[in-house]
Amino acid sequence: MGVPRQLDGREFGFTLFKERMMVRHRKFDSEDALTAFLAANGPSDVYASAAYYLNPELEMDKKGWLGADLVFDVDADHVETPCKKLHDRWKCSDCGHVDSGTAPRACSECGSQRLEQYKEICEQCLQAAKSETRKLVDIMIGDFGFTDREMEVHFTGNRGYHTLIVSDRVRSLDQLARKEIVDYVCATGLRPELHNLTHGDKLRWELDRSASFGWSRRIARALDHFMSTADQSELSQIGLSKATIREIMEKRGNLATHPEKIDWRFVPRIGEKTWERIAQRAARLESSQVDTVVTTDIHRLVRLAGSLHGKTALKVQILSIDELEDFDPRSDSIVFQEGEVTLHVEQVERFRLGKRDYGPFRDETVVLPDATAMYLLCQGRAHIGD
Amino acid sequence: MLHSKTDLAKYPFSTEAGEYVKQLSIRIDDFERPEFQNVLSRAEGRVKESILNGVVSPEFRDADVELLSYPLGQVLVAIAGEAYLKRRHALAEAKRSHELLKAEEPEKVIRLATDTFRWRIGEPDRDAGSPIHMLKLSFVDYLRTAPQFHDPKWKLVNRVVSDGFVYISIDEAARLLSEEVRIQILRRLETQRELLVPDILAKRANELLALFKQQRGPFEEYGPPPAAMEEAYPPCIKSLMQSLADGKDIPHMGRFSLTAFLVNAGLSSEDLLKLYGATADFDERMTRYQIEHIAGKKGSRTRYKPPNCDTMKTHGLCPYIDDICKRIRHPLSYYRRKTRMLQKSSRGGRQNSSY
Repeated sequence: MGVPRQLDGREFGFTLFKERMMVRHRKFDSEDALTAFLAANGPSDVYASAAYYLNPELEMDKKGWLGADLVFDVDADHVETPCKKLHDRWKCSDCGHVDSGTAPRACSECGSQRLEQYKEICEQCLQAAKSETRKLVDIMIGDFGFTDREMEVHFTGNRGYHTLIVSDRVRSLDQLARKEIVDYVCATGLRPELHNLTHGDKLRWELDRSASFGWSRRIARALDHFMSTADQSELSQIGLSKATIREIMEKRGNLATHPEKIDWRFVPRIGEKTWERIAQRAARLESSQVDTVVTTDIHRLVRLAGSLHGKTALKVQILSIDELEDFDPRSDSIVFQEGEVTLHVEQVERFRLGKRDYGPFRDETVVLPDATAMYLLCQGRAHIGD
Repeated sequence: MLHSKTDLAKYPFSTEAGEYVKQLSIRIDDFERPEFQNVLSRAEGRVKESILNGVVSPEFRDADVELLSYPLGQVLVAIAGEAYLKRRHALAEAKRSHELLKAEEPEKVIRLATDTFRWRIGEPDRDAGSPIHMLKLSFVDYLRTAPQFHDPKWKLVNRVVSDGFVYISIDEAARLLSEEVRIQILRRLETQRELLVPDILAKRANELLALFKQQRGPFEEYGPPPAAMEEAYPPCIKSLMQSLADGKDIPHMGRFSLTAFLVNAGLSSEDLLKLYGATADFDERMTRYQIEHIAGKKGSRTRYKPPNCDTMKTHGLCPYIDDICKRIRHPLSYYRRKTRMLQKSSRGGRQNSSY
């Protein structure tokens, strides 16, 4: 199990299967004590604080906050993906109209704003969560200078990844500082003009990749990528004239011979506003869609690495940066390897767990491997017996 | 290294200056003696400058006098005991430090930052860096002071950040250092205990306090206006109210901010329940529980305030900025301003279109 450093300074929390309420303000002096408690009580979920306290077992204002690890959460549910159009649905509570994708502001039929959202997480969503995490890790390493040893990535056991920075350096960062960091990661408040990307001559220097850093480099790179690969329609979408577009297309030929120094100054009629628009678009692509609340909460409880997720029975898996790339969340986090269970399954669409597909099921009794059975049971989509 | 006494006098907040003063072994009643009258005068002068100009002058002739007047000035402010004066004086001294630091050689600035404030700061590798930036500062140290400033240029996202370092100019380093000075002074002033002071100091301190009060004018009244005025809500709150009225799902942070704002604006728990009653997922018991927690009636009994504007922006809750928004940093400040405006104009006062 991945017990956090300085165990006795952390607050622990548990959700129990029956009660569904969280039990907080627990403290353990050793890993053995923790294990014994878990074995005796079998909670559905286990959490440990990112923060270190003098007295974790006391109430919030008496705990004595000593510092906290830096935590980021990427949740597939909150990441924008094109596939949401395919598997998410919304329904209007007033007129009953149903449509696919994320719910708009108002029903397209009757204009009501009372809409219900139905969501699912597919493989693409999980992949998107992984790439957002990858971007975050790159920023942590390249911009903030953290090493592999100072970072931990955990698969949450359901639909996302936590990234923890456990370095001593970040411990005493206050809430304002953490807010600044999350703004950095999300590119919130980014002003392209302050990165000298939109003022004539300076544009050249910033685009010299070896000399620029941080967001300057990132935007420059994305800007570069855009100018080199955008097709006719994308270029005219940002308001360029046909003549300008033709010039760009011609000059692109030079890419092969001058891969290092791309000089976009030759493009005349792209004004400041347009560069800004492109820069903002680039920033959005390069930023990581992390949950802003999690990082700024200095009292946050984080899922304990090595524990199981109460909704899936999958493991909160610790990953090294290298392992992240090939990690298969619906397969590599399975804990129950043997045995089978007979159970009654409700309406479930086809899904994958491990190397196999299961379902679709329509109110039927089936025999399933332990892991799959646990998965469905935890989600309340199946039950044992009649 | 700070070699000369002039340097110590210029940067009296430095560890070296502090040690030098300590080893002079001066006691507080020594300042009654005639040979210290210059120091007392200058100390008074420093505080007067804070009150009248908002900044302590950087020029001086006698380094010893200048150096000793720095802590003595703070003693006078501590005796006066007025919170707002403490803040003003700390800021005035900080501004003086900024003036002097920004004209200083990089090596000295680095030394001061490293020795006194334990910053990780240095000159970047020549081949990698840009010609504009002259120093690199560890992001942890940067974030200790920079977030206090509101100009977007200070935001980390608008800086050159690489390998854990933020690239800054000498002037910017000076600015951040002066902020450290301000915090250092304020911390000292706020933890000052009761001193047995010689009469002469007490007398001077009282005179300064009188000057300060005279300068400040009538005391401004704060507190929530008599009843909640929806017209006066800031754009963020209005937007949340609209979402609520439309039956839309509001994320947790939005809900919290809205509740905390309305509680501070004077709405009762019952009013809030009525408001939340319209939403599709309304669970009265849960909502009542949440409202009472935020209002401070349950749980930790802290009455929560809504987040400030920056935090609202981070969580995507700031829809747009209007003229009043530009002048404030907190939704409640917006509310106070606007209600005052509306009250003035409703009483038939002069239309103040500059708002």
